[in-house]
Amino acid sequence: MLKGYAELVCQSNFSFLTGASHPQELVEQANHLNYQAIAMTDECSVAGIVRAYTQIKSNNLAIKLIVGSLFKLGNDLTLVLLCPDHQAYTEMCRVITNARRRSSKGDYKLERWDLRTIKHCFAIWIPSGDKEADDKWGKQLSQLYSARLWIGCQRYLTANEANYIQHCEQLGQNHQVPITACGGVLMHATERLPLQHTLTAIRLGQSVMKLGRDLVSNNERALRPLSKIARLFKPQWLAESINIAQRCTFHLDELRYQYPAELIPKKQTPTTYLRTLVEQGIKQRFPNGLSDRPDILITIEKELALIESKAYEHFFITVHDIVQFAKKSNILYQGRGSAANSVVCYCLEITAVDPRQIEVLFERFISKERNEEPDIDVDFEHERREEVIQYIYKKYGRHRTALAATVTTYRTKSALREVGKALGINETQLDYFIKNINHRDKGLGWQSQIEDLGFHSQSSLGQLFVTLVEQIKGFPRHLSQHVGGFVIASGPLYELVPVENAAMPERTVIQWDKDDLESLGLLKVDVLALGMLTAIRKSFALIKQHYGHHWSIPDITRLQEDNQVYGMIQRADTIGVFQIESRAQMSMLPRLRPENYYDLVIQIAIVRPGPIQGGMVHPFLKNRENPKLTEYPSQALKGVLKRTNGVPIFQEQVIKIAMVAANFSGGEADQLRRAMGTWKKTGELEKHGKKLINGMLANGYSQEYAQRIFEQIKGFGEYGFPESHSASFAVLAYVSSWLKYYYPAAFYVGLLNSWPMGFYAPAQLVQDAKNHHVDLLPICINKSDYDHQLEYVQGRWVIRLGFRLIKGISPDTCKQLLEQRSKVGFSCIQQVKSLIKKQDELEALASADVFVALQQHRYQARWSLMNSESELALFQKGQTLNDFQIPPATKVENLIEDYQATRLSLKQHPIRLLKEAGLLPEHTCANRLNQMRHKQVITVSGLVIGRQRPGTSKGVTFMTLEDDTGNINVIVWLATARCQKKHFLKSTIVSVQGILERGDGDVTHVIAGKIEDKSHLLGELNTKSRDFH
Amino acid sequence: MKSLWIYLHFPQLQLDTLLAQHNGTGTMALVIVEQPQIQVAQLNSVAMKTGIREGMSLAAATTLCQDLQVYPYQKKVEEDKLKEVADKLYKFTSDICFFSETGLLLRVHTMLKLYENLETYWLAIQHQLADMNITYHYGSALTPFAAKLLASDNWDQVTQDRLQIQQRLMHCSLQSTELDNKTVKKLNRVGLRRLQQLIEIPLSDIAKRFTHDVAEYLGRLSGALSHPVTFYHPTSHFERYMELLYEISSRQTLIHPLGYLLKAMEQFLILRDQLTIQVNVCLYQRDREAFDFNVGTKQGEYRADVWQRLIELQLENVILKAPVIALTLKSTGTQACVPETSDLFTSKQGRLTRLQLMALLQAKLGEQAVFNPVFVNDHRPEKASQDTNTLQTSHSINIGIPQSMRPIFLLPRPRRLAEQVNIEHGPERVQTGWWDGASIERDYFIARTPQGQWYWVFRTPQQQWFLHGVFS
Repeated sequence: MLKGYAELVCQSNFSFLTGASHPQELVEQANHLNYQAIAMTDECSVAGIVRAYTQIKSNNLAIKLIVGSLFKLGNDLTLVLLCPDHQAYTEMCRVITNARRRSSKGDYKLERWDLRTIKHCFAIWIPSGDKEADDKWGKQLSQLYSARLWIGCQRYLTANEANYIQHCEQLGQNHQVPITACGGVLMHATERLPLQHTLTAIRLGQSVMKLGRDLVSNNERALRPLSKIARLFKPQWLAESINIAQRCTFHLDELRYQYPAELIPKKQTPTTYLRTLVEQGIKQRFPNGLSDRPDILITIEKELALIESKAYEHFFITVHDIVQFAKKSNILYQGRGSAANSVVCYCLEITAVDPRQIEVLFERFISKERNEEPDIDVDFEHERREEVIQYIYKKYGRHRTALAATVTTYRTKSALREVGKALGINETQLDYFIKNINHRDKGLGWQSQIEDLGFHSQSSLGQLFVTLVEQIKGFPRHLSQHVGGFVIASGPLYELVPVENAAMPERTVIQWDKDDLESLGLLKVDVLALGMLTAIRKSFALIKQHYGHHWSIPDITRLQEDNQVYGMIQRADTIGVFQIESRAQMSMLPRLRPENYYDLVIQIAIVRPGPIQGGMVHPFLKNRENPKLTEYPSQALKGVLKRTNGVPIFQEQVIKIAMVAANFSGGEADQLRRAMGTWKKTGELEKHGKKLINGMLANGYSQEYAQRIFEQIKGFGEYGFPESHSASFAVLAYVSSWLKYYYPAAFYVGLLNSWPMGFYAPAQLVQDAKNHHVDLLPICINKSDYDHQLEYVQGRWVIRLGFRLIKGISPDTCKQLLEQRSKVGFSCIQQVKSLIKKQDELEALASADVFVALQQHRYQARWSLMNSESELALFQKGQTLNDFQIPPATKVENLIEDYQATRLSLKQHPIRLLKEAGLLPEHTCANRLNQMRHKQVITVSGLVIGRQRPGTSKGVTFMTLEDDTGNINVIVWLATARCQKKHFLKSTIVSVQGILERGDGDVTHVIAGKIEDKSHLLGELNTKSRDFH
Repeated sequence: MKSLWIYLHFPQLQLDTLLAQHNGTGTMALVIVEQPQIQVAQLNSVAMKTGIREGMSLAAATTLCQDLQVYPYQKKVEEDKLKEVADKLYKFTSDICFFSETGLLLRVHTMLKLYENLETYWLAIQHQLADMNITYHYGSALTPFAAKLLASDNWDQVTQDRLQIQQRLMHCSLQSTELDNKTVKKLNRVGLRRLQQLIEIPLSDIAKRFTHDVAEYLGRLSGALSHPVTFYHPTSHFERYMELLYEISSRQTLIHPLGYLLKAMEQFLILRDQLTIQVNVCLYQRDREAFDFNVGTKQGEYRADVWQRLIELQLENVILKAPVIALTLKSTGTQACVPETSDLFTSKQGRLTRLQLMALLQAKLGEQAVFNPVFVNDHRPEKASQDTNTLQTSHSINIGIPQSMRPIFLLPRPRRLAEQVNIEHGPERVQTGWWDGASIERDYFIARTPQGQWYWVFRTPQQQWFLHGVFS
């Protein structure tokens, strides 16, 4: 009678394009089938193992998980390694790392030498069936591994299987190797066969129809019921599988992370050293001492105690070390995340969030009861982050640091393309679908959209296509590098987790992503890039250089709240400002009217899909107006929601609600938080939803309220915004607003010199500068630098545009040009010509109209520079050039040339030109909108400078138009957008007829009725709007 | 005698071809789409009315018009049509040059003696073009490039008046010239947009800035440099491709478009006073390989109706596996006689081509009797060996013989197993084919009957047993 079975060879979809089930599905199903154990043996990878582990742990499954990996060597060796103990695991990670590091991204190359280094792992050898080769391998492997070697006999009900079994038995006898049964599983259930075939087809780059016998012939590669297994294999082979499984005692829980020890000075413990650092920080951050604020001291003590109890000192010390490097190198940075807003982090100079301003912060720190790991992300200037990364590599060595992985998964587009190809659908047709599916149209799924585009989804092939695309979505495709999550270890990292090559040269990634790391309790340090920090640093530098004022981020946050600055924010005059510059944010500013730092924290978090989808915005505004009328569903929730006027806005609050109102345990709340991040892919959130709603109902909350909270959780899923991040962002939002208000010229120059970044293109930033009475001077061959500069003209600072704005000219060329430019500048165009070798760059300069100072208009300058004969000698001899005189450009030509050369024009606004030419319909200018009545029907015209659709369920799109007097906010409802798709999506200049609406805080919008594309009027106008960011 | 050229520019040859072949398409919006960009390249007036324009993306076009008929651009169709036009005009003017993919250049001055004056000549040409129902623009000038430029700029005038021609030429945009895009762009960036602006610049200044091509173009345009062209000589074979407006799945309906092509062939042969002894008809089927067959008559024939009858006969034996989307008709002219002394089984290829041999065998035995067994890469026994139609040149032959034991004799259709057998080998489980509606789920066994025959049998999930093959 069958005692049981352990599946020792099983590949998940982390054996990319081979396995057809998620690791979670495999362990669930194996558990359901009463397997005693299952080994996750992806090909040269442990990338799926943690997901299997987490699934078992969080659902308390009875099944045992064995860590292993499958390797192929040449055409005739397939070997599965299993880890009986920690030592074996370390060994296997090393083998994987070596094999992976030998190959480019995504590949591996096992060598015979690797086989010799395996001293602890169990080896299951899957004979190839080729007698000669198998005999050779049998001999070698039995010598190498003796008692640690088994022959894995698989049965798939293929033709001539009896011969194969006989062959295996013979091998066993010849080489004295025991046989174990194994499944070679590729899918958790038989229904996945079509998907497995499709994946094979994608891997081999053929359609399933053409692959024929290269596809597996039946669904025996699924997890099979024990009754069937018992009929297929000899009892002693099954017993052997159990025997092996029992001997594998290694558990992922055993993995412990050793932090680098070198940061701790001798004679200090991590705890004492952290305390020393914090005490030094207190002196720095609070020069007047904390005698007046004993509460802050108490908080610090509490935090330190917590850090000690969790042994997180190394983590804080490591981050501290990194930011200290940045500080010394004069790189601006800002920490954020749950731990970053602790007072400890403020003292360690990781963040500038002043605890005196945010004592109200709700969840300042890691939550003890939830066992959540501390989270510190540090943003650095985007242009200088690489220096920080290089510092880390240098300090800890490449073998001790690597980036966390990001698992790139199939999304609708990639799934459509690849499944389509596998099913033999014409590629042009697929291209056409992919290009024309509007992914933002949430109401209309891709299925009905491709039907609109002419696909027969009801045909049998069509149905298969739809099903397979849906199945493959969320399947991992490859590992790529996380944006900046570093793992730093005390010893070689490959003893902890395999390391492989990333696409970027010299970069390596580990095989686990951030969730995997979190599940195992391993910490990573996020080193991220942020453009705004670059801009702010550049503004500070300009202010110091030209005004002689020294400012830093903490200097500004330490000042009292500035009403002038908040006034500007309330008017939504926030183009260029961090975070609150998007259209959705700007439309909310006059209604929320932030007056202090914490209002900004809320502002940043509230204009997000979560709160909007949860219908929380209106109640928030209402409650804020009448705090007394605010109703709390219960006293318990009052504690959670008081600071946000009774409305949950932050992710932390939602989690807390689950705990307070629906009795979630710490662990459950933690699962909920993670499910929020991946609910689209796994649908796991629905499970929590039921529990949440039932829990809340049981505690006496209304169905409607519970439902609303759940909706908000779903909204958070994609763009969840925690207070801890918002708090740090608010600092930058405030600092950038402050700069815009007090030093506008320096502010714009900082932004323009850090571009590309942020929401607006240089053309819009320049227009905004003009609207703020900041004067701008054109690019000049004798006055401009590569970057934009401040120039003192007639008693005020104005902006001199720099060469960086010119399309098609490299920084190196400019550098060379500037080095050769004398104090008086160039006297003739030929001097410039002799300096620059590349003809394209010369002509780009001419078209940017930089030679006006040399009495050359752009056409003439370009014409002379096109001359292939050297005229310098001629010119120096004083001979006149007898060149043909090209007539100067007209107004319209100048405008077109300005846009072509620099994407903006200081001279003209296209709308004004079109208006002067009588080409536009009668329309209202932006600066006259405030004189129009509410509900008046009007027509407006402008350049489309942005289209933005926040992830609200209503599907409204904000379109920003710019005319020569300012910006116009247009709201396009989904129905309007759908039926005027072409005019709406593809235009650069439009006329919109619609209804003017004036709402709270005098927010003025035009609700679009008829949208007319006028782009053809200035066909060559090369303005690119920034769409959907 | 001064030279004179007329250029004919055909902006929508493929569309015109489609419309000519199918009357009564006036109510349908129709566009021809260029492939990599998926942009509208040609469109009819109905499509124009819905707001569709040239260069628009197909997606935008379909938004504007729900029931848009879409055809991919096919260079071959345009080439064929242009040749057809040239063939037709050849009767009236001798010097025709394929000057570009979308236009013909006519040398006029050599013809004026024959026609006495330009007006009569042009009238004759126009008359022929009107017959063909084809959209065109034209222009006359003293050099080929000038004529082309004027036609591309839609001048639509024919004159010998130098001054008039010159004035109009100066007006032309540089975009319409033969200068490459990069050069035109460079000229635009210094404000030069019309030909006149470019001409005003001394050639020496241009030579300092541009490659020789620009000066050469201007030289040829003005006539300062000579411009040799090669003229067209009509072909001796008739070959024409035709794209169908609707997919046709019945053989009967196929006769109609075939008739159109046969008429064209008749015209062609009459003009040349020729007969053809064989025609080749090729049917392009949706998602399948093209299928072609030959029809011959030893004594030679030119009449469309006679050929039509012969083809109809042949068509009766044809089984359409998929709807036909296009067809080609070819006259293959003279053909070698069938030699009587050739051994079918010698490895040396006889003088018969493969196709000829097949045609001969089929003529003797009937089409269905001749087939070609091939191995196909598929797990399913029914698909693994297939009898393909011999007229098709199959590319899938010799895929490789499957490794597993398979019987030589496979029943055309599995039969219920009626006798007692002993299972000797198996099972081999085959569960596949979900993609084409012919999926199977079977366990195959090798079994032995009491009489000692070796059977290949299978069991279905419903536990029914079938005999599928017999081992020798």
